[in-house]
Amino acid sequence: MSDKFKSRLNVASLFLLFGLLFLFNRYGSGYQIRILNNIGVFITLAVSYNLINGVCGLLHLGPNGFIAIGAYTSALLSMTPAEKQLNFILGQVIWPLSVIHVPFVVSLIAAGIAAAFFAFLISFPVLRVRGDYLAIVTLGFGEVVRVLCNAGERVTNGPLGLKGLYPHTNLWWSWGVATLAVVVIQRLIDSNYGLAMKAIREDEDAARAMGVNPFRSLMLAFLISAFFSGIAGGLLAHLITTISPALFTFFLTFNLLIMIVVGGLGSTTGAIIGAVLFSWGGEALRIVEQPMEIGSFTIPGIPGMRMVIFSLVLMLVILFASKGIMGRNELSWDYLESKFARFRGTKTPQ
Amino acid sequence: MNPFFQMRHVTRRFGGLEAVGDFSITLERGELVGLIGPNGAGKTTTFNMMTGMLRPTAGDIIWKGENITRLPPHLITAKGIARTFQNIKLFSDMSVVENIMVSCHYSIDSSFLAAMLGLPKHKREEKRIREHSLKCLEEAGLAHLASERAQNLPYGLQRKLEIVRAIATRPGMLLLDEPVAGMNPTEKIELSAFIRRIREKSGITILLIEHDMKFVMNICQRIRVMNYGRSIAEGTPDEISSNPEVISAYLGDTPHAQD
Repeated sequence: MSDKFKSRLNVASLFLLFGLLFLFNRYGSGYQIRILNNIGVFITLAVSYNLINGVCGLLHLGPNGFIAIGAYTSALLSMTPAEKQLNFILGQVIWPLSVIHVPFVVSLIAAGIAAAFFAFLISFPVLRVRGDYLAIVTLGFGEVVRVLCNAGERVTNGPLGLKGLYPHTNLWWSWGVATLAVVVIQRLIDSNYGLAMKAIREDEDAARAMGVNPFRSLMLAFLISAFFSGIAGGLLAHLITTISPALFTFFLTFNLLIMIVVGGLGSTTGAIIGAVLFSWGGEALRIVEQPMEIGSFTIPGIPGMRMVIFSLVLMLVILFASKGIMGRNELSWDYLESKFARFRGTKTPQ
Repeated sequence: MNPFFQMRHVTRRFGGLEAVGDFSITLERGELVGLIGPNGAGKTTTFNMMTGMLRPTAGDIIWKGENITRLPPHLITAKGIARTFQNIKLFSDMSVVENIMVSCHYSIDSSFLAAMLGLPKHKREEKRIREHSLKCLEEAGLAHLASERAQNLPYGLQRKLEIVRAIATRPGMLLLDEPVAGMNPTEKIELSAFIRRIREKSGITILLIEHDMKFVMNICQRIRVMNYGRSIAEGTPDEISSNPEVISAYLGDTPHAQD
């Protein structure tokens, strides 16, 4: 397949995606739009998280910290001074934040930069260690950010959180950012920079001996991942319209981890599938909690049943596809072509 | 004039153990030198110090007149010293050509931003790296395996790929850590021909560690022997094979032990 044809297919599928979004935006129910928004935000989060855990092979457990930083930065910058005055009951917000008010898009970029700045700071201690130790250090970072959000009343309004944010996040924002994140991050993974990251995952000593500077490559992954996590955090804040430290517990990281493991660690496609399954599947399974009649049996609605089924599905995925749904494969046009060729029984074109 | 490569009185201690003590060696451009010695003699530690993976406790390492003793491994590779490993360290889940392409990473001339935005400059760099890598594979006769995953190659080819990967960094000196370990006789002959060919073509200096005496005696111009972290002898293959100290290091220095 020629490159030109592939790029045409890419453009066509983008048109298809945004055409569908347009239809949903116009005719879909509020509930459907809400789920689609969630999916968009979680695709961004999962794909950027996968860059560190899947591609670089580091067990990073602190994305909730970056998301929190992004969410608070974006929220504090996009709220009007009057809204801030209403929110901060315990003590007024400190000076520069009390008067700043910027457009949503600027607040999102600032959210990304703030998260990346913190990633830069913590990468010095974090990237000195590997494996379990790295997991513990990043886990600690996520907790520290949450506790600071709880304690910094003059900045974050403490446990009360920030309420009444303007719901800026719509389908165009959430899916626009998701598309941008997927394209940009996948380009990085496919480039020589991505190769260096994978080489570090496979064998760090060999990578160093081949001239790869692990610190630089991993820091790059860390910054980019944090940047997009921060932006997604800002989108999340303006989607839920209320943020508090309780939103950014380790549970958020844990959900992201499930998404990328189920989808296939190291595969962007897998991260997308994981994010879709997780955000949409949880909602779709609500029907099992309603009373059902199968033949002469009547099953009463059992609250919590969907979590049981959800866990069962997760177990089945891991049992039958131990490397996740996609493994480390990507759903590219070439991949589809080769699958199709095998299906037709013809020889795979080289 | 400065020597090509020199280690001066290098010592490395691990706690109380002196793995390498007062070791000095000078290599000239284009030489093929063997480093031999019984297990635990400090040969691999010496390699690790030459490539920056370990810092010497004392002493200096000079490369083309520059002191590289305290440089990190990736900078030493960029300066022109490449190595292979005793136990194969390929990037197993990557394709053969991708393994080689990593070796060009240090020379990439476009930023990560150019990569993320897909700028033409980056595409040119990617093309240059891919073509260079394919050329390296072709010269080694591995081109037909380019898209195969590295872990699927047979053992002998994995060893060879590791050498090709090191050569792809365009080194001035190549360090081979037991290149023929575990190979069958045919593979050994092939590999020694391959090493000779590399040397004739690119004129690089090669220092190799090997336990296979036949291979070492056959291929090396000069041999250095280590034992207990010390250098005990140096000379041509003939001199070394008749050196009593070397023989006693290999066979034990109590000639009447069997009595």
